[in-house]
Amino acid sequence: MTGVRFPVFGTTAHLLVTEPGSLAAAERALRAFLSEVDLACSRFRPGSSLSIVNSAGAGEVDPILFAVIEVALRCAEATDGLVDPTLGSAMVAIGYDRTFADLAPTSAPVTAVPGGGWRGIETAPATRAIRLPHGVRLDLGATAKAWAADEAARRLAALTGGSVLVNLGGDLAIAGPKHAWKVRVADDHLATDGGQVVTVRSGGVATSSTTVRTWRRADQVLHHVLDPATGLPARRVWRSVSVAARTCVDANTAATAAIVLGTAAPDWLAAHDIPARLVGTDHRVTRVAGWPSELQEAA
Amino acid sequence: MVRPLNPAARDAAAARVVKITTGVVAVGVAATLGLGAAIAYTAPAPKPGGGKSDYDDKSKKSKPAKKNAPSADDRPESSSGDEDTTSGGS
Repeated sequence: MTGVRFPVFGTTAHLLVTEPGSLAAAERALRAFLSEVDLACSRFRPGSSLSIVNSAGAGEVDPILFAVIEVALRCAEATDGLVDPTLGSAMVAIGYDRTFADLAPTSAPVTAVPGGGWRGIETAPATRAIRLPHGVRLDLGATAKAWAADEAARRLAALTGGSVLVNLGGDLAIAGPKHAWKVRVADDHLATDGGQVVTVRSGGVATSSTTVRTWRRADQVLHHVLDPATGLPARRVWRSVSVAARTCVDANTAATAAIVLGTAAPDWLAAHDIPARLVGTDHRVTRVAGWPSELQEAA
Repeated sequence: MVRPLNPAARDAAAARVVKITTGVVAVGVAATLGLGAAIAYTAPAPKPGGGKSDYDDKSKKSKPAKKNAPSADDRPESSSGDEDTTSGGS
Protein backbone atom coordinates (compact mmCIF):
# COMPACT_ATOMS: atom_id res chain seq x y z
CA MET A 1 0.00 0.00 0.00
CA THR A 2 1.28 3.44 -0.88
CA GLY A 3 -0.11 6.94 -1.20
CA VAL A 4 0.34 10.60 -1.98
CA ARG A 5 -1.06 13.87 -0.62
CA PHE A 6 -1.59 17.16 -2.45
CA PRO A 7 -3.64 20.32 -1.91
CA VAL A 8 -7.05 20.62 -3.54
CA PHE A 9 -10.35 22.50 -2.96
CA GLY A 10 -8.75 24.52 -0.15
CA THR A 11 -7.95 21.31 1.71
CA THR A 12 -5.91 18.14 1.20
CA ALA A 13 -6.35 15.17 -1.08
CA HIS A 14 -4.96 11.85 0.13
CA LEU A 15 -4.81 9.02 -2.39
CA LEU A 16 -3.99 5.48 -1.27
CA VAL A 17 -3.63 2.45 -3.54
CA THR A 18 -2.83 -1.18 -2.82
CA GLU A 19 -0.90 -1.60 -6.10
CA PRO A 20 2.28 0.47 -5.60
CA GLY A 21 3.16 0.46 -9.29
CA SER A 22 -0.09 2.18 -10.16
CA LEU A 23 0.28 5.19 -7.88
CA ALA A 24 1.77 7.60 -10.44
CA ALA A 25 -0.93 6.91 -13.02
CA ALA A 26 -3.63 7.06 -10.36
CA GLU A 27 -2.35 10.40 -9.07
CA ARG A 28 -2.31 11.89 -12.57
CA ALA A 29 -5.85 10.72 -13.19
CA LEU A 30 -7.03 12.01 -9.81
CA ARG A 31 -5.48 15.45 -10.29
CA ALA A 32 -7.05 15.75 -13.74
CA PHE A 33 -10.48 14.70 -12.49
CA LEU A 34 -10.43 17.00 -9.46
CA SER A 35 -9.40 19.87 -11.70
CA GLU A 36 -12.51 19.23 -13.80
CA VAL A 37 -14.67 19.13 -10.67
CA ASP A 38 -13.19 22.41 -9.48
CA LEU A 39 -13.79 24.13 -12.82
CA ALA A 40 -17.40 22.92 -12.75
CA CYS A 41 -18.41 23.30 -9.11
CA SER A 42 -16.28 25.95 -7.42
CA ARG A 43 -18.23 28.82 -5.89
CA PHE A 44 -15.05 30.90 -5.79
CA ARG A 45 -14.03 30.66 -9.45
CA PRO A 46 -15.78 33.41 -11.42
CA GLY A 47 -15.71 31.35 -14.61
CA SER A 48 -16.85 28.04 -13.15
CA SER A 49 -20.03 26.50 -14.47
CA LEU A 50 -21.54 26.96 -11.01
CA SER A 51 -20.65 30.67 -10.83
CA ILE A 52 -22.15 31.22 -14.26
CA VAL A 53 -25.47 29.57 -13.43
CA ASN A 54 -25.56 31.26 -10.01
CA SER A 55 -25.16 34.60 -11.74
CA ALA A 56 -27.55 33.97 -14.62
CA GLY A 57 -30.13 31.97 -12.68
CA ALA A 58 -30.52 29.51 -15.55
CA GLY A 59 -28.63 27.81 -18.34
CA GLU A 60 -27.09 24.64 -19.66
CA VAL A 61 -24.33 23.50 -17.36
CA ASP A 62 -21.23 21.33 -17.36
CA PRO A 63 -21.97 17.56 -17.14
CA ILE A 64 -20.14 17.28 -13.84
CA LEU A 65 -22.06 20.18 -12.35
CA PHE A 66 -25.35 18.72 -13.56
CA ALA A 67 -24.50 15.37 -11.98
CA VAL A 68 -23.57 17.01 -8.67
CA ILE A 69 -26.72 19.16 -8.66
CA GLU A 70 -28.88 16.07 -9.18
CA VAL A 71 -27.08 14.28 -6.34
CA ALA A 72 -27.44 17.34 -4.10
CA LEU A 73 -31.18 17.54 -4.81
CA ARG A 74 -31.55 13.86 -3.89
CA CYS A 75 -29.69 14.52 -0.63
CA ALA A 76 -32.00 17.45 0.12
CA GLU A 77 -35.06 15.35 -0.62
CA ALA A 78 -33.78 12.43 1.47
CA THR A 79 -33.20 14.65 4.50
CA ASP A 80 -36.28 16.85 4.11
CA GLY A 81 -33.98 19.77 3.45
CA LEU A 82 -31.62 19.35 6.40
CA VAL A 83 -28.87 19.22 3.77
CA ASP A 84 -29.64 22.07 1.41
CA PRO A 85 -27.72 22.95 -1.78
CA THR A 86 -29.32 26.40 -1.97
CA LEU A 87 -27.38 28.08 0.82
CA GLY A 88 -25.09 30.00 -1.53
CA SER A 89 -26.61 33.37 -0.62
CA ALA A 90 -26.60 32.43 3.08
CA MET A 91 -22.88 31.63 2.92
CA VAL A 92 -22.20 35.02 1.34
CA ALA A 93 -24.42 36.76 3.89
CA ILE A 94 -22.45 35.35 6.82
CA GLY A 95 -19.19 36.34 5.21
CA TYR A 96 -18.03 33.11 3.55
CA ASP A 97 -17.78 34.84 0.19
CA ARG A 98 -14.23 33.89 -0.75
CA THR A 99 -11.92 30.94 -0.28
CA PHE A 100 -11.56 30.14 3.38
CA ALA A 101 -7.86 30.99 3.39
CA ASP A 102 -8.75 34.56 2.38
CA LEU A 103 -11.38 35.16 5.08
CA ALA A 104 -10.45 37.81 7.64
CA PRO A 105 -12.15 38.96 10.85
CA THR A 106 -14.64 41.74 10.23
CA SER A 107 -17.09 43.83 12.25
CA ALA A 108 -19.77 43.60 9.57
CA PRO A 109 -23.02 42.29 11.03
CA VAL A 110 -24.19 38.75 10.43
CA THR A 111 -27.32 38.52 8.34
CA ALA A 112 -29.44 35.43 7.83
CA VAL A 113 -30.74 34.09 4.53
CA PRO A 114 -32.73 30.90 5.14
CA GLY A 115 -32.56 28.07 2.60
CA GLY A 116 -35.32 25.94 1.16
CA GLY A 117 -35.03 27.14 -2.43
CA TRP A 118 -34.01 23.68 -3.60
CA ARG A 119 -37.66 22.69 -3.91
CA GLY A 120 -38.07 25.16 -6.76
CA ILE A 121 -35.06 24.16 -8.85
CA GLU A 122 -35.93 22.90 -12.32
CA THR A 123 -33.65 20.45 -14.13
CA ALA A 124 -33.79 19.06 -17.66
CA PRO A 125 -31.49 16.04 -18.01
CA ALA A 126 -31.78 15.89 -21.80
CA THR A 127 -30.18 19.31 -22.19
CA ARG A 128 -28.47 19.57 -18.77
CA ALA A 129 -30.40 22.79 -18.25
CA ILE A 130 -30.88 24.24 -14.78
CA ARG A 131 -33.27 26.97 -13.65
CA LEU A 132 -32.93 28.43 -10.16
CA PRO A 133 -35.75 30.20 -8.34
CA HIS A 134 -35.30 33.97 -8.23
CA GLY A 135 -32.57 34.97 -5.80
CA VAL A 136 -31.42 31.41 -5.11
CA ARG A 137 -27.71 30.62 -5.34
CA LEU A 138 -26.18 27.17 -5.08
CA ASP A 139 -23.40 26.10 -2.73
CA LEU A 140 -22.39 22.53 -3.49
CA GLY A 141 -19.21 22.47 -1.43
CA ALA A 142 -19.80 19.44 0.75
CA THR A 143 -21.74 17.34 -1.72
CA ALA A 144 -19.36 18.05 -4.58
CA LYS A 145 -16.38 16.96 -2.51
CA ALA A 146 -18.06 13.75 -1.39
CA TRP A 147 -19.31 12.97 -4.89
CA ALA A 148 -15.83 13.57 -6.27
CA ALA A 149 -14.37 11.13 -3.73
CA ASP A 150 -16.88 8.43 -4.70
CA GLU A 151 -16.44 8.96 -8.41
CA ALA A 152 -12.65 9.18 -8.24
CA ALA A 153 -12.33 6.03 -6.14
CA ARG A 154 -14.51 4.13 -8.58
CA ARG A 155 -12.54 5.33 -11.61
CA LEU A 156 -9.14 4.73 -10.02
CA ALA A 157 -10.04 1.24 -8.86
CA ALA A 158 -10.91 0.41 -12.45
CA LEU A 159 -7.66 2.00 -13.61
CA THR A 160 -5.37 0.27 -11.13
CA GLY A 161 -7.15 -3.02 -10.60
CA GLY A 162 -6.48 -2.73 -6.88
CA SER A 163 -8.20 -1.28 -3.88
CA VAL A 164 -8.24 2.51 -3.77
CA LEU A 165 -9.03 5.03 -1.05
CA VAL A 166 -9.63 8.66 -2.02
CA ASN A 167 -9.76 11.10 0.87
CA LEU A 168 -10.74 14.70 0.06
CA GLY A 169 -10.42 16.82 3.17
CA GLY A 170 -11.61 14.08 5.48
CA ASP A 171 -14.42 12.76 3.28
CA LEU A 172 -13.24 9.44 1.91
CA ALA A 173 -14.41 6.74 -0.47
CA ILE A 174 -13.14 3.19 -0.95
CA ALA A 175 -13.44 1.13 -4.15
CA GLY A 176 -12.00 -1.99 -5.70
CA PRO A 177 -11.18 -5.34 -4.10
CA LYS A 178 -11.83 -5.49 -0.36
CA HIS A 179 -8.96 -4.19 1.70
CA ALA A 180 -8.92 -3.34 5.40
CA TRP A 181 -8.19 0.39 5.52
CA LYS A 182 -7.40 1.93 8.89
CA VAL A 183 -9.11 5.28 9.27
CA ARG A 184 -8.66 7.68 12.15
CA VAL A 185 -11.82 9.68 12.82
CA ALA A 186 -11.22 12.99 14.54
CA ASP A 187 -12.45 16.56 14.68
CA ASP A 188 -9.81 17.65 12.16
CA HIS A 189 -8.71 15.78 9.05
CA LEU A 190 -5.12 16.80 9.75
CA ALA A 191 -5.12 15.06 13.15
CA THR A 192 -2.53 12.32 13.70
CA ASP A 193 -3.62 11.45 17.22
CA GLY A 194 -6.79 11.51 19.29
CA GLY A 195 -10.16 10.43 18.02
CA GLN A 196 -10.49 6.75 17.17
CA VAL A 197 -8.96 4.38 14.62
CA VAL A 198 -11.37 2.03 12.88
CA THR A 199 -11.11 -0.44 10.01
CA VAL A 200 -13.31 0.07 6.95
CA ARG A 201 -13.38 -2.19 3.88
CA SER A 202 -15.74 -0.45 1.48
CA GLY A 203 -18.14 2.45 1.11
CA GLY A 204 -17.41 5.87 2.51
CA VAL A 205 -16.63 7.73 5.70
CA ALA A 206 -17.23 11.42 6.25
CA THR A 207 -16.87 13.81 9.15
CA SER A 208 -18.60 17.14 9.61
CA SER A 209 -17.13 19.44 12.20
CA THR A 210 -18.00 22.73 13.81
CA THR A 211 -14.47 23.25 15.10
CA VAL A 212 -12.64 23.69 11.82
CA ARG A 213 -13.30 26.26 9.10
CA THR A 214 -14.45 28.81 11.66
CA TRP A 215 -14.09 32.57 11.44
CA ARG A 216 -14.98 35.69 13.42
CA ARG A 217 -17.55 38.26 12.34
CA ALA A 218 -19.07 40.97 14.51
CA ASP A 219 -17.96 39.30 17.76
CA GLN A 220 -19.41 35.95 16.73
CA VAL A 221 -17.42 32.83 15.92
CA LEU A 222 -19.06 31.28 12.90
CA HIS A 223 -18.68 27.88 11.27
CA HIS A 224 -19.63 26.65 7.84
CA VAL A 225 -22.37 24.09 8.59
CA LEU A 226 -25.55 26.11 8.21
CA ASP A 227 -29.03 25.32 9.45
CA PRO A 228 -31.21 25.81 6.37
CA ALA A 229 -34.13 26.85 8.59
CA THR A 230 -32.26 29.95 9.78
CA GLY A 231 -29.47 30.47 7.28
CA LEU A 232 -27.06 30.72 10.21
CA PRO A 233 -24.46 28.29 11.55
CA ALA A 234 -26.10 25.30 13.22
CA ARG A 235 -26.19 25.39 17.00
CA ARG A 236 -23.01 23.85 18.39
CA VAL A 237 -24.14 20.61 20.02
CA TRP A 238 -21.42 18.49 18.40
CA ARG A 239 -17.76 19.19 17.79
CA SER A 240 -17.83 16.60 15.04
CA VAL A 241 -19.94 13.80 13.62
CA SER A 242 -18.30 10.92 11.74
CA VAL A 243 -20.45 8.58 9.67
CA ALA A 244 -19.82 5.36 7.73
CA ALA A 245 -22.14 4.60 4.83
CA ARG A 246 -22.40 2.89 1.48
CA THR A 247 -20.98 5.93 -0.28
CA CYS A 248 -19.12 9.04 0.72
CA VAL A 249 -22.10 11.12 -0.42
CA ASP A 250 -24.40 9.19 1.91
CA ALA A 251 -21.91 9.54 4.78
CA ASN A 252 -21.43 13.25 4.18
CA THR A 253 -25.17 13.83 3.92
CA ALA A 254 -25.86 12.05 7.20
CA ALA A 255 -22.99 13.77 9.00
CA THR A 256 -24.15 17.20 7.87
CA ALA A 257 -27.77 16.44 8.77
CA ALA A 258 -26.63 15.32 12.22
CA ILE A 259 -24.83 18.59 12.87
CA VAL A 260 -27.99 20.48 11.87
CA LEU A 261 -30.28 18.25 13.96
CA GLY A 262 -28.22 18.81 17.10
CA THR A 263 -29.58 16.91 20.09
CA ALA A 264 -31.95 14.93 17.88
CA ALA A 265 -29.11 13.52 15.80
CA PRO A 266 -28.38 10.24 17.67
CA ASP A 267 -31.98 9.08 17.47
CA TRP A 268 -32.24 10.10 13.82
CA LEU A 269 -29.06 8.23 12.91
CA ALA A 270 -30.11 5.16 14.90
CA ALA A 271 -33.55 5.12 13.29
CA HIS A 272 -31.89 5.08 9.87
CA ASP A 273 -29.31 2.48 10.96
CA ILE A 274 -26.41 4.76 10.06
CA PRO A 275 -23.26 4.01 12.11
CA ALA A 276 -21.92 7.24 13.55
CA ARG A 277 -19.58 8.64 16.17
CA LEU A 278 -20.62 11.99 17.60
CA VAL A 279 -18.34 14.10 19.76
CA GLY A 280 -20.12 16.65 21.92
CA THR A 281 -18.87 20.11 22.73
CA ASP A 282 -18.00 18.63 26.14
CA HIS A 283 -15.85 16.03 24.31
CA ARG A 284 -18.14 13.17 25.35
CA VAL A 285 -18.46 10.54 22.62
CA THR A 286 -21.79 9.06 21.51
CA ARG A 287 -21.79 6.01 19.25
CA VAL A 288 -24.89 4.85 17.39
CA ALA A 289 -26.03 2.05 15.06
CA GLY A 290 -23.12 -0.26 15.70
CA TRP A 291 -20.26 2.20 15.54
CA PRO A 292 -17.57 0.22 17.40
CA SER A 293 -16.18 1.06 20.78
CA GLU A 294 -12.50 1.77 21.03
CA LEU A 295 -10.46 -1.39 21.49
CA GLN A 296 -9.29 -0.53 24.97
CA GLU A 297 -12.91 0.06 25.96
CA ALA A 298 -14.06 -3.22 24.46
CA ALA A 299 -11.26 -5.28 26.05
CA MET B 1 -102.10 5.82 33.61
CA VAL B 2 -100.09 6.13 30.43
CA ARG B 3 -102.02 7.35 27.48
CA PRO B 4 -100.81 5.94 24.15
CA LEU B 5 -99.67 8.48 21.50
CA ASN B 6 -101.66 8.59 18.38
CA PRO B 7 -99.66 7.18 15.42
CA ALA B 8 -99.22 10.56 13.66
CA ALA B 9 -97.86 12.25 16.78
CA ARG B 10 -95.52 9.30 17.46
CA ASP B 11 -94.08 9.39 13.89
CA ALA B 12 -93.55 13.15 14.10
CA ALA B 13 -91.73 12.79 17.43
CA ALA B 14 -89.53 10.02 16.03
CA ALA B 15 -88.63 12.15 12.99
CA ARG B 16 -87.65 15.05 15.28
CA VAL B 17 -85.36 12.71 17.27
CA VAL B 18 -83.67 11.52 14.06
CA LYS B 19 -83.18 15.13 12.90
CA ILE B 20 -81.76 16.20 16.25
CA THR B 21 -79.41 13.18 16.40
CA THR B 22 -78.22 13.80 12.84
CA GLY B 23 -77.61 17.45 13.64
CA VAL B 24 -75.64 16.66 16.78
CA VAL B 25 -73.47 14.13 14.92
CA ALA B 26 -72.91 16.57 12.04
CA VAL B 27 -71.93 19.37 14.40
CA GLY B 28 -69.59 16.96 16.22
CA VAL B 29 -67.89 15.85 13.00
CA ALA B 30 -67.57 19.42 11.79
CA ALA B 31 -66.10 20.51 15.11
CA THR B 32 -63.60 17.65 15.07
CA LEU B 33 -62.53 18.38 11.49
CA GLY B 34 -62.31 22.07 12.22
CA LEU B 35 -60.25 21.51 15.33
CA GLY B 36 -57.92 19.15 13.43
CA ALA B 37 -57.50 21.66 10.65
CA ALA B 38 -56.82 24.41 13.14
CA ILE B 39 -54.18 22.31 14.90
CA ALA B 40 -52.56 21.38 11.58
CA TYR B 41 -52.52 25.02 10.50
CA THR B 42 -51.14 26.40 13.72
CA ALA B 43 -48.66 23.63 14.58
CA PRO B 44 -45.12 25.00 14.30
CA ALA B 45 -42.72 23.47 11.79
CA PRO B 46 -40.22 21.08 13.36
CA LYS B 47 -37.10 22.89 14.45
CA PRO B 48 -33.79 21.10 13.92
CA GLY B 49 -32.11 20.45 17.23
CA GLY B 50 -35.38 20.77 19.06
CA GLY B 51 -35.23 17.50 20.91
CA LYS B 52 -36.60 14.01 20.59
CA SER B 53 -40.10 14.94 19.57
CA ASP B 54 -38.62 16.87 16.69
CA TYR B 55 -36.59 13.83 15.66
CA ASP B 56 -39.61 11.57 15.88
CA ASP B 57 -41.42 13.71 13.40
CA LYS B 58 -38.50 13.88 11.00
CA SER B 59 -37.78 10.19 11.24
CA LYS B 60 -41.22 9.40 9.90
CA LYS B 61 -40.81 11.71 6.93
CA SER B 62 -37.14 11.34 6.09
CA LYS B 63 -36.22 8.94 3.32
CA PRO B 64 -32.61 7.79 3.70
CA ALA B 65 -34.27 4.81 5.28
CA LYS B 66 -32.81 1.50 6.28
CA LYS B 67 -32.86 0.31 2.68
CA ASN B 68 -29.87 2.64 2.26
CA ALA B 69 -28.17 1.42 5.40
CA PRO B 70 -24.56 0.39 4.90
CA SER B 71 -23.67 -3.24 4.26
CA ALA B 72 -21.57 -5.26 6.69
CA ASP B 73 -18.40 -4.38 4.76
CA ASP B 74 -19.20 -0.67 4.94
CA ARG B 75 -19.47 -0.77 8.72
CA PRO B 76 -16.40 0.27 10.70
CA GLU B 77 -14.74 -2.18 13.06
CA SER B 78 -12.58 -1.52 16.06
CA SER B 79 -8.94 -1.15 15.23
CA SER B 80 -5.70 0.03 16.72
CA GLY B 81 -2.24 1.12 15.65
CA ASP B 82 -1.35 3.67 13.04
CA GLU B 83 -3.98 4.95 10.69
CA ASP B 84 -3.69 4.91 6.90
CA THR B 85 -5.63 8.15 6.64
CA THR B 86 -7.87 10.48 8.69
CA SER B 87 -11.52 11.45 8.39
CA GLY B 88 -12.09 14.77 10.06
CA GLY B 89 -13.49 18.19 9.48
CA SER B 90 -11.85 20.42 6.91
